[in-house]
This record gives sequence, C-alpha cells and structure tokens, in this order.
Amino acid sequence: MAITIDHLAWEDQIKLTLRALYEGYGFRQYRMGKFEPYDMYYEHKDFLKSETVITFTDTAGRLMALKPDVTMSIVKSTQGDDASRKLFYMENVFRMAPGSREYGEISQIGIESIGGTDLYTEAETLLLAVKTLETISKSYLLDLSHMGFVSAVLSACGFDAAEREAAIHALTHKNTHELIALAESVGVDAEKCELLRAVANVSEAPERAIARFRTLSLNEEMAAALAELERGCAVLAAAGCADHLRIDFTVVNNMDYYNGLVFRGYIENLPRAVLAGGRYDNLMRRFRKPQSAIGFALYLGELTRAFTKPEAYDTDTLVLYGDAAPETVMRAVAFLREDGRGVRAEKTMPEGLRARRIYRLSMDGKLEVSADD
Amino acid sequence: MINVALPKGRLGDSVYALFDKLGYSCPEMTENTRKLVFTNEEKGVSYVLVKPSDVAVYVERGAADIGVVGKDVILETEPDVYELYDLGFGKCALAVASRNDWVDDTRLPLRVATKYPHVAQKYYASINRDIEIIKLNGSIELAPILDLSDVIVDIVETGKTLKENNMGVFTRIAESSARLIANKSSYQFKKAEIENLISGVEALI
Repeated sequence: MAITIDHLAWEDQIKLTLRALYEGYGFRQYRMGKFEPYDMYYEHKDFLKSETVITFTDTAGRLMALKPDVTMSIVKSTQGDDASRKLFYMENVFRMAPGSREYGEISQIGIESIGGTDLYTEAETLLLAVKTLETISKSYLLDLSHMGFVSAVLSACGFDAAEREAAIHALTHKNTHELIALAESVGVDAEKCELLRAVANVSEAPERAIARFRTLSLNEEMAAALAELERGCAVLAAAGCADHLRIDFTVVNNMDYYNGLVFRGYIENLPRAVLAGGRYDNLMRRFRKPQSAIGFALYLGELTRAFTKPEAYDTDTLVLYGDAAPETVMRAVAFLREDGRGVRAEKTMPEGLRARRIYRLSMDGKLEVSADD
Repeated sequence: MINVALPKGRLGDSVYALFDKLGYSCPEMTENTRKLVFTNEEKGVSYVLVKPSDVAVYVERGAADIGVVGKDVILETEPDVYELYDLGFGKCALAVASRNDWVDDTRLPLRVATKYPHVAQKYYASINRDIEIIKLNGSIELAPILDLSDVIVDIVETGKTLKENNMGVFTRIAESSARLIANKSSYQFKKAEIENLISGVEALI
C-alpha cells in the first residue's frame, strides 16, 4: 500500500509542505530547548503577546520559563557577527491564547532572516509569507505596514507619550472618530488630521495606496518609508505574488521591538490574523546584537480547527466476527486489508461506531456484507 | 452575505430600523418568533440578536462580521475588533457615583461596586487609588445605600435613578454611545460591503 501525504493529519501536511518550502529557499531548522531562564522573558516581556509565562524552579534553584516564544530565543542565541543566518522553526509554545484566560499549547511555525538588510531579504521574507498563506488557502490577504511611516506620522502630530499611546490604540482599532477627536483636542492642524484619517482608513492594493499617500506625506521620513514599501511590493509583483497584498497602516507592532516593514496575514473565514511578522532590528539592539533581522510566525491553533475536516466514519471497514476462531479472523482481516482499507475487527457491534462497510464473519470464514454506505 | 450581531432590546431595534432603511431588510426580525437567526438571502444579510455584552464576542470570534455595541462594553472587554463608526445614539457615561453625603476616606481602600471591574480598576490605577472591587450583576445603585460599597462605577444616562435615591455622579470616567464594530478578518474580505453600509449609515444619521 502506497503511503501519501493524504494519510497525514492536516497540521502535519502543512508542516511537511512548509518545511520543503523553507528548505527550498535555503533556510535551516532551528530547535529550541523546552525551558529558558525566566529573566530573559521578564526583561522583554512587552515583546510577548501575553505577559504571563509558565515558570518553575529548576534543580539548581533558577527560575525557568516554559518557552512562550521562539524569536527571542533565536535572537539570544545568535552571535553578534556579520554572518547571515536563515532559520525556520516548528515549535509548540506555551502561552495564553487570544481571548482566553487559560494557558494553551500553541503550534507556531516561522522563519527568521538575520543579518541581511537588503531589499532582496525583505522581499524574500514577504514572498515566503505569501507562499505560506497560499499553502493554507487560496483566499488570503497579506496586510503591509511600515513602522517608520506610522511613527513619522505620529511624531509630526506632536503627540506626547500618553497621547501617542492613545493614538496607536485608536489606530489599531481603525477608530477614526476617536483618533481625530484626540488630534483635534491637542491642536493638530487640518492637514495632519486628514493624513491621520487616511492612515486609519487605508486598506487597499499597494499601488493605489502608496500613490495616494505620496501626495499626503509631509516629510522625508514618510517619503523614505513609502519608497521602501513601494520597492518591496514591486519586487513581489515582479515575482507574480502581489495580488493578495494590501497596505494597512493599522498593523502596528510594538515600536520598542519592531521598525520598518511589518505585516499580518489573514485567511478568509478565520476570525483572527494567522500570520504576523516584520523587521525587528530594535529587538536585536536590546540584546546588543548589531545585525538587522526580519521574520514571521504562523499560528496553527485556529487553523487546525478550521481545516480539519470532520470524519464521516470511525473506521472504513468493520468486521464482526462473533464466535469465529482467531486464525479465521486474522485471515479475513488480512484479506480485506489488501485493498488498502482500514479494517477494524470486533466480536460484537460497538455502540455508536460509524463504519463505511460492515461485514459479518461466519465460523467457517465466510464474509458477508451486512451494511454498505 | 454579511452577518450582523445586534444587541437585544431598544438599541438593537433602532439599529435594525436603520439597517432596514438602507435595504438590509429581514422582515422576520420584527415578527414575534422564537427564531434565533434571521437570514434574508436575497438582500445578502443575516442577523443574530444576542445579549448586549456578548455582541463583541460574536464579532471578535467571527461568528458575526459586524455588530453594534456600547462603548462601555468595549472599554470593559477590550475586544480585538475594528471600531469603525460612532453611531451617536444610546449615549451614556461611565461614572463614579455615590450617596450625596459621601466623603472619600483616603486612609482606607475604596470599596467599588460595579458591573465594570476592568474599567474601574484601570481608572483607579490611573489616579493611584487603592480599591476593592465588588462585582455585581445588577441593581448596582443599591450597594452604597446598604453600605456594601463606598461608590459605584456604572453607566449613567439621565441620572434619574441616582437622584431618586439621594445619589449623584462624582466623576465621569468615559463617555459611551453605540459603536459599529467589525471582525478584523471579515473587514479584509468584505471591505466593500462593510464600507458601503457605513457610508449609508453616515448619510442617514
């Protein structure tokens, strides 16, 4: 019997396909330990999506954490040198799932490109993000944003720290009414309010969006960020992968860690973003590493639920052998298995079991179909 | 098809009336039935009526594409959704209220009775006041009268109930009104439909 990828559970199929994809672009697998010293996560806890980490004391009395994140561990283990590293990982991490108060085991797959700063590295990361989403569903969108652009817009408005935080909160919720009310209350002029409104509302194809923002942009910093976004999108378009890109500046990651390009991937009919990533040079600096870095992670949790098809049957074939001798049953099962079907043998009919086809085996070894779907 | 979650009650009724005018009609909604989901295939719309505090859950988890919910609920539950439009009705305030003769004794932690523990905690943390939360689910005004709490944090519309019980508002924490929210993923894939609906609402209000 030939074994194909279809024999794997959905999650395993995806893992196998993505492994081939990342290895095909020269990425090597990174494996992390289950536990890491807690102080690293504590120092950089804002980087984690949820602050709570499962901790315990190890045999030497050190406070350890059950891995809540992979990127930080990769950054920590990276040498601060000039070498470029392309890594991918498939790990289970432990943290609170969004919208829940319980710890969960979250299956996370991702890539990290460390050391490359050029446009190719950036475009390659985007390309792999696109191809990752495509592996899961043909109906997907990748939202692109630029932290440099968003940061320049907020700085131009002259918000203080608390106002800036409130503005980012409103922005990430596309809450234009409160964003503009806040801006007006601190005396931001009409031109900048119009820019803010556009930043909060945009969600469209790169070409049109970037052209529009070029006319709205107010300084060099904004123009430079737009130019970077535009070049990245153009490279992807040349690779034939631009149809599913959208510019959406409400994708804002933590500015203490991320800078430059950031992005988020959505699959139709799945309520939350399933892929998130971006350039995180600032995180590298926090670990005293001089390199640039960019990467993304795919979260499998909700995907697995959405894409695992309900099973119509518990077993393909059921053989009810009654009082037949074990040797007779063995022979009958071996015979039926020759077609490559799954065969379950039971003395009597198990309650609630769903089988595509049910045979009854007589004492003299005759198989008789008793039900066939 | 656009799936809408509306709060049961007056707010939901007025929002439906608004959507009805925009052509997102579903006549079954106004009939007295025990149905839970109302769908009009022809108009491409489907409604569910749920508890006001649950609307955001339905939208956040994608069971509905859009919904209408009070800002008070958004502040309390902080759902991960887009808050696209302020409908401007269902206006009220989240406020600190107590008996008119109440004086804050800063030597003791303040006992706060509320349906909004998160809002209360956040507000008092912002002014560095130590508090003790007493989570109630209804008749919050009763708490200070029976000395169950020093103050309450609750929504205040007209202040009539407070006045009748010799109580008053001491601080307004936040203003609330009905907000149109959207699931972050649905917004990506049904942007044209959702924006069309919002501009229709904008024109009507």
